[in-house]
Amino acid sequence: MRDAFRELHGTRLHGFALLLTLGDRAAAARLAAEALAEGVGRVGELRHPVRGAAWLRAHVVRASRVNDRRRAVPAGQSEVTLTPLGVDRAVLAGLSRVDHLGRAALIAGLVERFDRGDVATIVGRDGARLDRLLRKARESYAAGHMALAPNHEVPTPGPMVERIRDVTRRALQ
Amino acid sequence: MSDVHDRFDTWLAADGAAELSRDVALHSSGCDRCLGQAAAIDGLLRLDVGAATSPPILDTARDGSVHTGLIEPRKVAWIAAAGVLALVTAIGVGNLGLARTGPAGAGQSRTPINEGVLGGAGGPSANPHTPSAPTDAVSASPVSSESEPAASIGPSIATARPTAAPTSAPALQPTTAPSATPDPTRTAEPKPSPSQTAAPTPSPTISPPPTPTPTLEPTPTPVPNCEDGIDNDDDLLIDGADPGCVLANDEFAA
Repeated sequence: MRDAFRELHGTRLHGFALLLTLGDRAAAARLAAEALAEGVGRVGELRHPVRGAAWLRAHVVRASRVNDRRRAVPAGQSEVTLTPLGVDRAVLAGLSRVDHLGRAALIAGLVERFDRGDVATIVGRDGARLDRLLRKARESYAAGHMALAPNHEVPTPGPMVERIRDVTRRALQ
Repeated sequence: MSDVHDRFDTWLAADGAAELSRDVALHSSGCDRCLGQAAAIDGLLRLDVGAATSPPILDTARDGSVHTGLIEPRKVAWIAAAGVLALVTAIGVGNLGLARTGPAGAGQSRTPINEGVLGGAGGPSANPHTPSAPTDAVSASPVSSESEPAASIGPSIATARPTAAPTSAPALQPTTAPSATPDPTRTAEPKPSPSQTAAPTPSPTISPPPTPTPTLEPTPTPVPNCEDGIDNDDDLLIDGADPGCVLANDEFAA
């Protein structure tokens, strides 16, 4: 049961921690391992996979808030660590602009596609406070991203840009 | 224009789940800000957290508690409390030991109290406690057996307080004793003279140090060669028969 819990959550939780710490390998490994170890002890309560995943990330967010300000990722480590996850320089610059809690909300909502209730659990905010947190995080992230990709030059357009182009194409026909 | 941006932001905030109206799509397709924001969100949507490796496994106890190799603050507090308790206990035991094994301090502190009590009570009759105090303090000195009775006598209160130094105490106490006490039992004992000035005399123990007798041993001075019965200058004339002794009181003179 415990091994299955680790199998189910370990990899993605570690990825979440890597993004949250902006590629700090040591911190991410410690945060994920501690959260998993705590979660294994509560495997009965966390049987639901999504609830368990949200609880584990909330644990990581709480534990990492203390270290966020005093830790500096060694130069160059972020790119090396995060490139396998699909992070390019523009995304890294955008995430670096967002504060710790906003970054957690962005990763949980946009990267991991948690629903709003689970994002609220992960960041410990809900309602209007969560809306403000998300809006501010999006703005900061977009500003950082556009600073490095001013002409929204992406090798392959993502779903949002594709959607805009698709609707525009249909409107012009 | 801002209305279109607001509607675009609303659509973006819903992660593209809502319907994108045609006018907003027409605007955003030519707006760098809107396209930039959409591309930024796309950058996040492309990420794959599942591409990470598994984290290391930490030990968990049977109760589910995690052992990270660090000492928890609560444990540190318990350890510190236990250390303080042990220290306090050790100090307490040490103080008890001192109180039991410290005869000098105890004796000194007891003496004035006994003397004070005896002084207030009139001295001579209050003998039962007195032997204990002087014996504690003076047992080493040879005069102690004689001075014991004297120590119980009241009038010496003023002089007894400075006697905290054990050496001087026995010497002074006997001197005051006879003068003040008409104790019949002790009268036979005190050979010391009634006068306080003569008190130092019964303490011959002090005299040995100032008399370095070795200085007297090399006494060549009492050898006047005119009285030693020896022919010192080998002229076959001894002492008074030698003209040197007659003339200059020195055999070698002639």
